[in-house]
Amino acid sequence: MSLLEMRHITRRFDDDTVAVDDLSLSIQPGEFFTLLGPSGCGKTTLLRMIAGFDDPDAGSLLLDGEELAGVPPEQRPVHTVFQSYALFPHMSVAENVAFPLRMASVRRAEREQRTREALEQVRLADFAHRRPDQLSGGQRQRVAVARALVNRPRLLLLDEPLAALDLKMREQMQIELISLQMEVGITFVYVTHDQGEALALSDRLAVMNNGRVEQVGDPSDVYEFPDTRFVADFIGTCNLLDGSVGQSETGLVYLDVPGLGPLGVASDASPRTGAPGTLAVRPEKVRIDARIEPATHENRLEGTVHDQLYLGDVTVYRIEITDGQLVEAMLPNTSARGERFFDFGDQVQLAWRHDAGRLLAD
Amino acid sequence: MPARSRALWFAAMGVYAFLYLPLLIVIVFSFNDSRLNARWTGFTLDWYAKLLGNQQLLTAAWNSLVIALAVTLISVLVGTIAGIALSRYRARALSLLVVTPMAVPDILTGVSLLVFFVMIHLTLGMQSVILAHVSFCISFVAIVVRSALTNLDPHLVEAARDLGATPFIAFRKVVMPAITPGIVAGALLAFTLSIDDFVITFFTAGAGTTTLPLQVYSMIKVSITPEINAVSTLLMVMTLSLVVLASRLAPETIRT
Repeated sequence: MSLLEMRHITRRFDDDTVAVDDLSLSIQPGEFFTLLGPSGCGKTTLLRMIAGFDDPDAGSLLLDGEELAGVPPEQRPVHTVFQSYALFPHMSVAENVAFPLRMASVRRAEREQRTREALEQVRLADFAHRRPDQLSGGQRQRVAVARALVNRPRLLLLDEPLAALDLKMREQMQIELISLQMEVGITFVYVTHDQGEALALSDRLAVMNNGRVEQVGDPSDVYEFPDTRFVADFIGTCNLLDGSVGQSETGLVYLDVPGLGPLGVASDASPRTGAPGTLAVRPEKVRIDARIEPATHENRLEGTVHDQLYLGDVTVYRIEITDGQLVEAMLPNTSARGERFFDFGDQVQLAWRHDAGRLLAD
Repeated sequence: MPARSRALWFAAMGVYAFLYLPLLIVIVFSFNDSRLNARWTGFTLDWYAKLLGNQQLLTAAWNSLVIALAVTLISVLVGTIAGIALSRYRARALSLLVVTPMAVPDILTGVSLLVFFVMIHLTLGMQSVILAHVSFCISFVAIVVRSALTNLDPHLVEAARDLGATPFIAFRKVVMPAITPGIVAGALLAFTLSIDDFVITFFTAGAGTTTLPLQVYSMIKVSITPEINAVSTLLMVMTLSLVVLASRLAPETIRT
């Protein structure tokens, strides 16, 4: 049985905007599940409904098979790590962490022991008597996590908890969150707009847009096999080549893309000829060279280097095929001297395997 | 020191002198061994000793103290609730109605309260003065409490609820500690406004009741004696020590 079951959840706000639109999802016990989407996609609204700060207008939320409607936040075995951390400023670190235990009337001796253990778990045992304003951002974040976990909730909700941290700290905290989640075995539901974070952290993730789920799957599924144009575009970068379906054979569809000709893409679907379609292929899947030998099961294009973007570890080249149509290719910078392989205006060839692309129907 | 900043320094000193010199003169002359506030003739504590024998003045001071304490208590209770309501329901009309009594001229407040008390057949005396003071002190408390609540992270209450606190416990454990400095500041304001109010008290006290400001006023109608300097000095010491005490209790909001 799934731990949390969301069935046809809808939430409208006063001005008639639909924040969450007939959304259904189920979350399995013990998994690290991420709600990923741009701001305003409804992910935070959904999280607030799970926590009990907001109620759906329609649909039902089931935790362990029991309806959550009408259960106030303090009675839900669900705790939240807020984006602002929301540490109680007038309490010490230890008092903050002990708060949920105090609310649950845990006896003093046990309370003190569990508080100590929770602080040790996030390596803050030495900071027990500090006030929140005497801590760094990363330390505050860890206090917030310890406080939310100390009472062993069935579900931990995390609302963009790393957004306020700098890049290095964020990467370190990601690793800590993963190992902490494995250690405590509590189900995490994590909200973020950062696709890199979602890919790095999650067992499964749901990509949300306009209050709906666009795609659910494990990170590599969603990254490699996006179902929709939105998903392909939102996660990572992607060449999106619009055209119409030409001839097709078993497991392979040719898409006629204006200016590029027919391009093959592996697909189990058999769309009718002439239907609109989009070929999505990620820049790192596109090989680029001065000359590429023709091969079967590959698309090959010729063009000139339009511009290039040096990113340190890789360089992204944008190749102009015929007037206006641009295709991106990514090349790792294997030379230590910072030499570029190609320059503006160079004639180059591009190639990618049929099964490196993805046919999007919308 | 460049000419411009020297000029600025003199201007600042001028302002401070203007603010504090009159107070300083009152304090100094309360220790002066002469009936006249003109020339320093020697140190004495006679005037303070004389105060203790002035039954009228002592009664007035006692009345003022009782009124101020009652006003503080009622204003803090009602004003805090009003401040919470103001921060929760952000209707402009509501906050305007609470702020307006602060802007109404005292003379108008005094006259209208007098008319009102007479209309409802309330006997004038301590009780009417207390009600009158409460009517304008509530506003100050409400405004200070509201501003303390505005600075409160709304997620704090949600976090408390989320971690198992009922709405009441969340208020007591999270909201109260956060607005306590505001409440203390409001109480201090109410107390000082009440203890030195003259105009509104003058209208609402009736014939039998005298407060310290009313008593001092009736004394200077005869002549300004060093006794008045001594009363004023004591009043000053009391309110200043309250300010210091409050700033100890409420570090964030009041301490400069």
